Amino acid sequence: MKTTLSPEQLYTKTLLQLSRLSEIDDGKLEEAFQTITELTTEALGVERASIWLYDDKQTAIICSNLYEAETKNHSSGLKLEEKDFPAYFKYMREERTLPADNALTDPCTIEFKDVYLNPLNIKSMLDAPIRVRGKMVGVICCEKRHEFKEWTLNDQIFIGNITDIISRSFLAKERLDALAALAEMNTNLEKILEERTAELENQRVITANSSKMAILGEMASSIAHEINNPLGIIVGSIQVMKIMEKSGSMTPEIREKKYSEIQATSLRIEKIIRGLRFFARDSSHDDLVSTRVSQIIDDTINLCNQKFVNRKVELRIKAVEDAELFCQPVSISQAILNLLSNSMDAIEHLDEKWIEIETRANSQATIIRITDSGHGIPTEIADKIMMPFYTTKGVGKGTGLGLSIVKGIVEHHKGTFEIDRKNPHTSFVLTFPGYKNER
Amino acid sequence: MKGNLLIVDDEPILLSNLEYLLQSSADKVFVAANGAEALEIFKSNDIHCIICDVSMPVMDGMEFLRAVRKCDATVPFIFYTGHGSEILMNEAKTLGIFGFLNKPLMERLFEIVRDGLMKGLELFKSRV
Repeated sequence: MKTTLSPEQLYTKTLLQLSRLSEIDDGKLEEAFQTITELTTEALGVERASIWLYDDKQTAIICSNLYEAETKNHSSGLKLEEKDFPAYFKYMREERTLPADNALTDPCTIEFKDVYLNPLNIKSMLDAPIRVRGKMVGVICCEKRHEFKEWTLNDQIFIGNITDIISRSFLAKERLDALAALAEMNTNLEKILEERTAELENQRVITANSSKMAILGEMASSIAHEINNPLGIIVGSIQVMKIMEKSGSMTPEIREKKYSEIQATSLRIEKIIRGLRFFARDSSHDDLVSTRVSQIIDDTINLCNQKFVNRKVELRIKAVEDAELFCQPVSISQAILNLLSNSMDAIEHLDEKWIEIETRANSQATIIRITDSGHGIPTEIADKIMMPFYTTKGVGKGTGLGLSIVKGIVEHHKGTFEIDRKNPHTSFVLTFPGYKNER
Repeated sequence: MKGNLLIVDDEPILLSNLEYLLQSSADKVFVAANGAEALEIFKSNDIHCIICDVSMPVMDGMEFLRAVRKCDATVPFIFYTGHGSEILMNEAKTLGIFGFLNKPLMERLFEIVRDGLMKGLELFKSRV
């Protein structure tokens, strides 16, 4: 220590040093306290300086950092109960500094005499409360051993300034803790958001799946027909062949023709079963694959062809341009099937019954347009029609999920699903980005 | 005399199979690809029994049955269909049908067609 400095110069220098200490504003209390206690012993010329903080219950103070200059040792952990030293605590709560020139006789520090002062040979004490927002959170104690020290007003001002610096570190820590808590909260929120998003996606998949099953159920009888009809042909053809063979009227030409018929008819069944399996399996987690739109439309039509016949709806397929679509083919098929089923219900009572599927493609987009002979959708309904559970069909006829599912599927493929309000007929447009060979 | 049979189905192979298989059961077998064609044949010929598919274009089996019942309340009418729908069967019953066969089964076909023709002929004769 340079003794050439006056105490006042030393105080100014110490306070300057401390005010530049980054730990103070970084809320690093331990590191800050260590430096503060060291510099304080040095500046005041005392052997001991310590910072004490209230415990959680506010009934005792615990030593957070004690610096003993003689041994250059830092320690912590000692605890003083407020009830054992009432005069001291009462004074500290009310005043800015406690300058006890003779700690052994001062009414505020005499309580420490036997348990603390005498055993440690402390003669004088200069204590000051640390206040944060006006509330005492702890104290700083400076203790002179071996001999008495008369505390000057400057000593008291200095220690008061030190407590202000300590409060500053508390406020910094509070602010940083709050920021950290906020950051953690943000992370938690992000996590919750992620979870919710996953839940929603899960829900979307479940809904899409159950609607798929609902459509399958609706189609069950026409599917049965699609299979039973060709089976009827096969059974009949075999019967015909048996009789012809028996009666000797069979010719190689007829035999060949019948074989071909049976074979072709068997393939018809195979096709519908393939379509069923393709459609019914859980495809929600399928990878995207490059598929021709015409293929998807064919597969879809195979499933519901009979429904067109039954409902006497003319099907017009207009592939202006075919395209490869990078997609989950089953999902796209489901979307188309939903729209077809929807259209068929909508035009059921019209005299003119047709549905047209049109495909167009360019480098930017692939467009599937499904138009039916209906006369469009009134604006007030068009706005609501894609919302889940919105239905204009009678009780038991529709789930109200059809269009919202189509929308979900199309959006899942980064596309858009719209009603073409300019079209005189009811026309739905599925636009997919031309992302062939991308992603 | 065995009577005349009308077969209606939109599947050409199925139609020709049935025509071949049932030719010996009837005096004359008429075929039609849908209800509308069938109705024309029915109106211009003596038909004693009809075997008919349900789902067909232009005019389906149910519509054909209704049209037939307008001009003939009794001619035996047999549905031969892949549908097997109960609702359909119930409606058909109210219109009076003679039989209901599920595709692809054929065992009872000859029997039911023979009975149908016999009944139809009987009714026809009693009317004449």
